[in-house]
Amino acid sequence: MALMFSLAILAYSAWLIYGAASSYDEGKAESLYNLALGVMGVLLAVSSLTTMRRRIQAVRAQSIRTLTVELCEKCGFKSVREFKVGDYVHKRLGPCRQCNGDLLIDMIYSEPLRREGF
Amino acid sequence: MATFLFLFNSWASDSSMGTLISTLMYLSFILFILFGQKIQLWTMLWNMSGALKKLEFMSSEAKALTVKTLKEIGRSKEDLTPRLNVLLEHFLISPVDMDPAGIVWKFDHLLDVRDSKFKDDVRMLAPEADEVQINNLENLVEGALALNTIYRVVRHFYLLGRKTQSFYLILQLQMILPLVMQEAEALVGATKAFALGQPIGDGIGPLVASKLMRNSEKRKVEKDIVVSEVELEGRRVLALKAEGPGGNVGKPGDAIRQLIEERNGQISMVLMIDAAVKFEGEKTGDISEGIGAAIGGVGTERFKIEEEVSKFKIPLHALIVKESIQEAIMPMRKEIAEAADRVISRIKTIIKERTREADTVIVAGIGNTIGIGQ
Ligand SMILES: [Zn+2]
Repeated sequence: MALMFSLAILAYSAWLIYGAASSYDEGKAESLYNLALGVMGVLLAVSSLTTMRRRIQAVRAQSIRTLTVELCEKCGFKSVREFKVGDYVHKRLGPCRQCNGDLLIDMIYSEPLRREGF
Repeated sequence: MATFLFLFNSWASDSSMGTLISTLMYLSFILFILFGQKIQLWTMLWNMSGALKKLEFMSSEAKALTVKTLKEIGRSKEDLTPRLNVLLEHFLISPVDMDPAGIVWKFDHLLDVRDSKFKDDVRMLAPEADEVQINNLENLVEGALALNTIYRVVRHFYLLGRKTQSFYLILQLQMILPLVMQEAEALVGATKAFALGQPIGDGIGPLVASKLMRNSEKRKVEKDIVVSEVELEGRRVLALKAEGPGGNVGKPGDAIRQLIEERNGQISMVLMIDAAVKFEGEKTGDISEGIGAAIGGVGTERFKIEEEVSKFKIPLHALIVKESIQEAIMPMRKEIAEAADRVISRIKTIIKERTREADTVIVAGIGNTIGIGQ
């Protein structure tokens, strides 16, 4: 809704600037006023759009995912997967998939979800 | 607002109503001079009511999450909400400090009572939960309680400001509101971590201790603390942390005192590892060294540790990992988890430089051990 409004203002201001530029040749006094209004409108629209974008980014930065790192102490086998309820650091997970060493959870950490451009 | 003025202006310029516009301009100018503060007050109240709605939402979300988790884990069939509501308004009256001698033990006692009361209540709410889950659920209830308290306090000052129309009352709330909102958002993250049993940023101390004691025998000492004796750089290291993986901070003060007493003060150094608040602009996961008891809370544990080490003149060192207040209670970030190995190499350097071989050193990992075993 607010996005549409800002875009409409942007379009209208562009049209005003265009009108001012084309009527400048005819020497109308109005053209300067329209130009000023147009520039102001562009600035307002751009500023409100950037605020909106920043707000969306702030929301997106908050979404995180938690990962669990499994490690075999004997052979160094390592795998990363999503965190599951019941996981905890240094939990023994049974035998390793590659050798018969003990597999355990080495790390649990969270990181922001990858950002796929705006 | 500005956008509307702009629209109005551009419309007016098309028709020839210059006089009307200038009259309106003057009028609004005078209005702003006369009622400027009132207008500012309204906009501030309007902003604040938005923030209050957000807080109410966060608080009720946290409560809903708590009820859901309690039901899932505890398999209770009755309606938990009324009982939880009582818990969410729970308070603690701190002991009188007019005559402060002995206040630490009074405080300590009250905290013990509160802790066991919370655990009992949670056990009643979730009868089928095991000990680890009870600890996590207790943390979850505490998080929901903190959010509920923030919401109630902000609402109080908002309504008071609106009732009295006092500019300065509202201004005070307005000034701290950004910090309060940050804190509340962090608490929302914390409740999610507690519900799932994920490690939080504050867990770096226990994580380091846990890495030290990974493959050796552990024993339980005073109030929810586990200790393990390991060899590091030729020194005997007594590593201790709260017992995990349930959400727990234990009472490291009591544990350190017990360990020192057991050895009649024959300890060369006490080294404490904790998360500490960084300044804005500093990097998360950086490590700082210092002297003193690195432990938060009301101060009872710090007092016990300071008493004990000064009694036997044991050097007290501290290593802190920097993180923001928010990061400390949100799920542990990668930078913090990765700091653990660097902390261990710092520990090695410190004990190599400051103690002799075959000395005994206490390394205490301070913080909430949720999601971290031993
Ligand atoms: Zn292996």
